[in-house]
Amino acid sequence: MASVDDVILETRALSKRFGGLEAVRSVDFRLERGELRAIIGPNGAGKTTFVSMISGRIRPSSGRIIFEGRDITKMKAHDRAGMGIVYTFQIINIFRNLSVYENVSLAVQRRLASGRAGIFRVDEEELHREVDAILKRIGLRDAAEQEAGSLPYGHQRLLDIGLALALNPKLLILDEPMQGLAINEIDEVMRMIRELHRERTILLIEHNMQVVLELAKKITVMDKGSIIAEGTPEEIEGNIEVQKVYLGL
Amino acid sequence: MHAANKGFGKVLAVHIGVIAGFFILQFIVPPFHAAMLTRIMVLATYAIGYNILLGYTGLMSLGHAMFFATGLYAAGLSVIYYGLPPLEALLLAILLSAVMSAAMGAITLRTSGVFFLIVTMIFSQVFFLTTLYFNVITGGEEGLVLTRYLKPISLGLFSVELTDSAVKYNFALIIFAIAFLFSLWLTRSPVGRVLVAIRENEERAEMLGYNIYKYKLLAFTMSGTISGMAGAAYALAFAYIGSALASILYSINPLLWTLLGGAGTTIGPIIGTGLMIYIIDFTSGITTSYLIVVGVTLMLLVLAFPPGIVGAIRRRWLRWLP
Amino acid sequence: MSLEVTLFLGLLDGVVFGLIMALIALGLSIAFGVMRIVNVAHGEFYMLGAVIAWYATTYLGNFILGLIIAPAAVTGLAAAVERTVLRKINYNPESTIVATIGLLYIIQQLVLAIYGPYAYNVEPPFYFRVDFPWFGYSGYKLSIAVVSLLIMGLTALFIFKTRLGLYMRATQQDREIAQAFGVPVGRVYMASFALGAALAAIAGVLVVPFLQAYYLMGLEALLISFMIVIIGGLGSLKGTLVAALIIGVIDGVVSVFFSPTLAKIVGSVLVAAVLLVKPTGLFGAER
Repeated sequence: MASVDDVILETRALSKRFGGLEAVRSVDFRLERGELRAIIGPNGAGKTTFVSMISGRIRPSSGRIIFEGRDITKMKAHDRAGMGIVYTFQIINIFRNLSVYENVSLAVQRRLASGRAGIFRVDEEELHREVDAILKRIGLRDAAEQEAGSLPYGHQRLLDIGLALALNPKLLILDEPMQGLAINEIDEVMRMIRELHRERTILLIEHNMQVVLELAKKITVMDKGSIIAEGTPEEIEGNIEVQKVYLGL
Repeated sequence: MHAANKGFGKVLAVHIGVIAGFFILQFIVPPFHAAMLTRIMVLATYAIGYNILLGYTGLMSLGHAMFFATGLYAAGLSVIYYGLPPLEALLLAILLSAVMSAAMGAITLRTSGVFFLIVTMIFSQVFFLTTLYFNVITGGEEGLVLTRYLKPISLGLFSVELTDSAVKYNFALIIFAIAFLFSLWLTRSPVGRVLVAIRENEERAEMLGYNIYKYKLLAFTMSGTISGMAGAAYALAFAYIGSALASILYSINPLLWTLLGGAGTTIGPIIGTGLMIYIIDFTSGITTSYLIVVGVTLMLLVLAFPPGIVGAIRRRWLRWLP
Repeated sequence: MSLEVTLFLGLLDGVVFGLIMALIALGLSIAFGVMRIVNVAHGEFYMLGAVIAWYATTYLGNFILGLIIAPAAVTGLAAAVERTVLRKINYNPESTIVATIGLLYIIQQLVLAIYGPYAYNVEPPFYFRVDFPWFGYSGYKLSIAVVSLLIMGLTALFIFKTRLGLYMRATQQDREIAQAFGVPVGRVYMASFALGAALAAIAGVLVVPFLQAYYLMGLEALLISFMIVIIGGLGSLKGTLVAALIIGVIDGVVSVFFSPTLAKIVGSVLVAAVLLVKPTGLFGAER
């Protein structure tokens, strides 16, 4: 068992009720630093609600969230992003009417301008360098001046992940990054996720089992708001209960 | 060099050109139009302030008359009752407008969407009623004339009188230029970029780690302060304060001017203000129901011409315009 | 008059006024609930109701006829506006605000041009006094308080018991799903907007016998109904009624002791307080 210091994120009895519906039921979850964890489960299992509570977009009904030993349950989403918990949306979410360059620079600027004075002045040279580096990394350097909404779908997804990357997160939450991508685009995004994983912890929600099995070392399975199994890809593949609810066998 | 800095020379030249244009016009146009231009510059300052919130942050206020009037009354009343010289009155008015808009922003920004509109309108309308309620001090609807109380502006070796129309013109020009260049600076500053990000996609901006409420409050305060500065300039330049300038029409006016000229463009509010003031001046000579022009223009803008004049020009020809 | 008696008079006036304003605010609230838009010209529908009622009573000699003609005319106008303007701008909330501000000035200035800058009222359709131990009170005012309540009740009945009402509620819940289930959303929108306008117009007719019909009267009604919906929570029927009574009583009591202007100032302080404590309004759902 890992020592406490290696746990980057933990939830205790985390729950969310929407009216009468209990979307997430008392979930205890631990994530170790440097892991690439996948969460799988059928539609409506509560995966997105669960990670939305971690990122701060949704307030939990009860339970606690601990990040790097700090209770962040009541912390605002933007403060969590500042601490290093970064979330990419299930549906591509970028500044469609701004250029690719402007998109990335907004993310880089946030990281550079952590101090109070930073909101009025930022080192434009440094900003430019960093934006350029990110653009290079996501392969969109040639499209820098293009309007983000006019990019091909796969490139929009790369830009979306690029925005997260530019914040240099400690924990990156990717909510179904492969949704709607073509096969060659999936390969590209997978390559990027692998590369990102070298430096940081990743929590990945994904439906594409092939992607999950290839990327994750550990898989958490959710159903009806609860965790029903957790283990290595081999263990999960062999788990009868998982096959029943998830693979529909 | 990257694109954001490319062509800034051109942008700066256009903006300096607008200011220089106004400066030169005073030597060319007849007195009637010089007086009109004075009015346009003061009210364009108001529109520039309004545009920071509407055009660059994406928040539509229906209550900016409250800030315009805060500046107006702060300057006017301090001149009348405390004998403050014009520039001191102006500074006091700017300060009070900043306080007022920060406080109002803190309350109204707790709402979002249409609720924000409703709430800004409520507070502004009540501010208007308050100026009527204290009509013993404010002069109410009839208003008060400052002329007797206005001291000369001392400029070191010599001093100038605000009652002189050339002084009025250049006073208005300076106020206008300050606001205009500030808005240009803002569009290029890190803060301005975040405000645009909030306008474009608030949710994403928040998930990038920006404190949306704080940025909106900052925008609201900047916007309200410039509006207040315009109000103070109005009181001083036209030596008049009255509650009509706090009425809902004065909350609608900057909205109309900004939309007509093009929200989210630095030059649009000026074009919109100038055009509308001339149109109103023209039509009020014909009919007493000239406000119908305001109504029809708003309706037509929404139905047929959403980007506004400069917005359309930028879309079609000059993509580099800020 | 002693303090208690003045207070009682203020309370009575306040409740009557509050119920009338509730009718107007309810109209605003319905249109918002279903269409997610705010109609800034809503107060002008109220003013039109009053002005048309004056015309009907003066030229046709019949107040009851006014009570039919005015809402009918305003309903028709609202439906036309919905079709030709709001639909064109796709009910975008901010464009709707701008368009309805435009409509506000167009209606107001046309009334000024036709009706003039005068303030007239009409004879009430019936006249009796209700004698309290300390003063007599207009029986007409008391009756319209009852009529307002009745109309609100009918509106609630309409929303909860008829097919169109069901459609409205479905659209309010989720427009897309409603559409998928065959709800004619376009017509529901038109009906909601027209119903909202009709309620304002009825309120306008009811007040002409004791308030005067005047081309600028819409703004005060708009201000008060805005306060009501913010305090009560926009889209909530119960909230609208409770908040209207609160605002009405404040208005009545503060007006008899001090001035109507001060009443508005007190009202806005209450709005600020509600926003600080519960930004969604006292009965508003999370938004």
